[in-house]
Amino acid sequence: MNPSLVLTVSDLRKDSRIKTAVDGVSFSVSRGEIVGLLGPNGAGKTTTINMVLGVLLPTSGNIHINGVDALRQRTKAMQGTNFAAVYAPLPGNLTVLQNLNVFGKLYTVQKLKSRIEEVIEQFDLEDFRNTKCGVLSSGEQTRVCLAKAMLNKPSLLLLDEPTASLDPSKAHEIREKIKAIVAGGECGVLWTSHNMHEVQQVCDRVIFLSKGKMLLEGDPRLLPQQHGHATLDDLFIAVAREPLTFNEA
Amino acid sequence: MNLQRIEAIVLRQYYLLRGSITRIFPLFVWVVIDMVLWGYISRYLGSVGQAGLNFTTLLLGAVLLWDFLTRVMHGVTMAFFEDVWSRNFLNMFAAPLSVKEYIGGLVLSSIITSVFGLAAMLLVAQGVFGLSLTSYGAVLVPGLFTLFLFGIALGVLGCATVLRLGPAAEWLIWSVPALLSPFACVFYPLATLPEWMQWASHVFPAMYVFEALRGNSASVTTGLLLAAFYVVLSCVRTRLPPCTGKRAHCTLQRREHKLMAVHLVKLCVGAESIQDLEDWQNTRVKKKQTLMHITRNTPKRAEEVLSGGSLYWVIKSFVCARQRIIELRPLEIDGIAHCGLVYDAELVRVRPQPRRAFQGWRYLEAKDAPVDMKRGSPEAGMPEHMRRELAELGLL
Repeated sequence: MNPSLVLTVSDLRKDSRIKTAVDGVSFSVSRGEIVGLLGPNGAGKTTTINMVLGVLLPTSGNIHINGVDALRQRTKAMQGTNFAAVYAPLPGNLTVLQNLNVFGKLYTVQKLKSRIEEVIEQFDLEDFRNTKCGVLSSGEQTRVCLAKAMLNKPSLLLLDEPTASLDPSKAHEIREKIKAIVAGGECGVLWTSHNMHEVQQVCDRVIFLSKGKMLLEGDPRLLPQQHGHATLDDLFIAVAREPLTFNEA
Repeated sequence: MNLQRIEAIVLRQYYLLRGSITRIFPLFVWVVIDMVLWGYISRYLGSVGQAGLNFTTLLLGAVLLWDFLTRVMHGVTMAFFEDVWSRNFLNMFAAPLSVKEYIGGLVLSSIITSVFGLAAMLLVAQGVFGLSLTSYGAVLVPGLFTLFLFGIALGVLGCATVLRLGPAAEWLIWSVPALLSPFACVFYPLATLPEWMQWASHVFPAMYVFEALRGNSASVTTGLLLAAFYVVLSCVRTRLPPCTGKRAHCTLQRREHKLMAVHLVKLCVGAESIQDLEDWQNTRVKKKQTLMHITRNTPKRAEEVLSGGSLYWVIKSFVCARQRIIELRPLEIDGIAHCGLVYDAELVRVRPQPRRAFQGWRYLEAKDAPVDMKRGSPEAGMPEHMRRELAELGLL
């Protein structure tokens, strides 16, 4: 196994009673790389992330995180992983500090107190440390989620639309922070977003999913031209409208 | 099992209790009220009843022990509900937390909270009414332990029920102790019950305890073994190989999805009021026709729609009512693929929400959906036109 790979997903499949949500998806994420997972609603992005996180059991396929089989040794695999999503805010009835303390213990973070201070400073949360998360603005809540996501210095970070509820300035700020973290070379990021401008700015590589299948993979700055489209937005729309036939088109 | 992760679950409960008087209050108050109430009832019965019967031990002691079991059960379920209410499962189980550790944390939280409850009850029962638990003799300790184990088993079963049936099953969980109490023979000997109830009582460990405390022949050991068996049975999922609790994670995830269901919203063409819609649907039901709206656009977010989503009806520029979507039925009409949005017959009125006209249907995120009107609430009793007018004025 290549030691630079933090995530390897092979032939992943998830069947439900009504449809195949993910159908034979394979990809990898390396250290120091941000990979965008793109696709229209219902394409299977969140299902894929949930399977990587081990909260959803795949029908078949393999997931390795840092060389550890995540399906057989979930606890070990999750130790070096973390997650933030706009739809999964931290409990609003606990303060920022309390939440970080609880999640720090869940991730068995060493020297937790000093690590909490580091992420509080990193995500500019000093003024909110004793504020209940439920009363924070969406931008502040996103920063708390990201602080929690960085607590265990993950080698794999899963971000599901992390900037969806932020204004352009805050979104830019968050993107820059994540890019700086990844530039350290220890962390790989799997990032889902519907903001194609953001994807072009942040991602080193993108994967297009539609109806659970992987349709395209490549550099977000080159892919549109390679497939005869002016922008990534146009390419996204084309993929969304002509699912499963895109490669033949 | 990692102790630090179990500590995290307990710590979360501690933070919640520390920061909220409304959470601390129920730990003590209801059980203390029970002690006061039953203490005086026992005293009164003692003054008018037969000489030689100690009503304080007979009634007040029984209430104390039953309340202890209830506290233990609620200790587990309350800690679990905190995660349901704050929609925290995804964050919790995205961490390296196993289901065994999670349950371990819930049980530990319950031990701490129920010990406080027990201490408060003992203080009142002994201090005010002179109850002496030592009068129960040697069966007291195994009896208390049996009730504790049975409470834990009921708590875990309660959590599993909510995971299986969804958050709406919460009401059922609160009433479990009351439902079981007739069979547990808390206040009367087993022989008082009709034969079929006596048979049923034998599956409840609490019955053995209360019978033994009254000096009847029931073996408290049987109760203890039965309670231990129930604890093992209730936790059996965490013991199934490969011990990662993946099945439980899937269930949790499904419930999480249920909480995040997406709805559809649609104009109810031709209807002037909810009554019109109701009448039209009643006619279809009488003719045994399926309640279904046919559309050419199949919802792509089918899984989310079917995870508890509803079809919200817009009538005269207001979202007024909803019906649970139960099936997305693929249809072919004139060779063209269509989708039948099959919905439940129950028409739930919602607080009117203004909505401009649009074609076809649209997704409606759960956070944007209007709230249901509670039956019996003042707004539910208003005529529909008045509700609309108040909603237009922003008063509803």
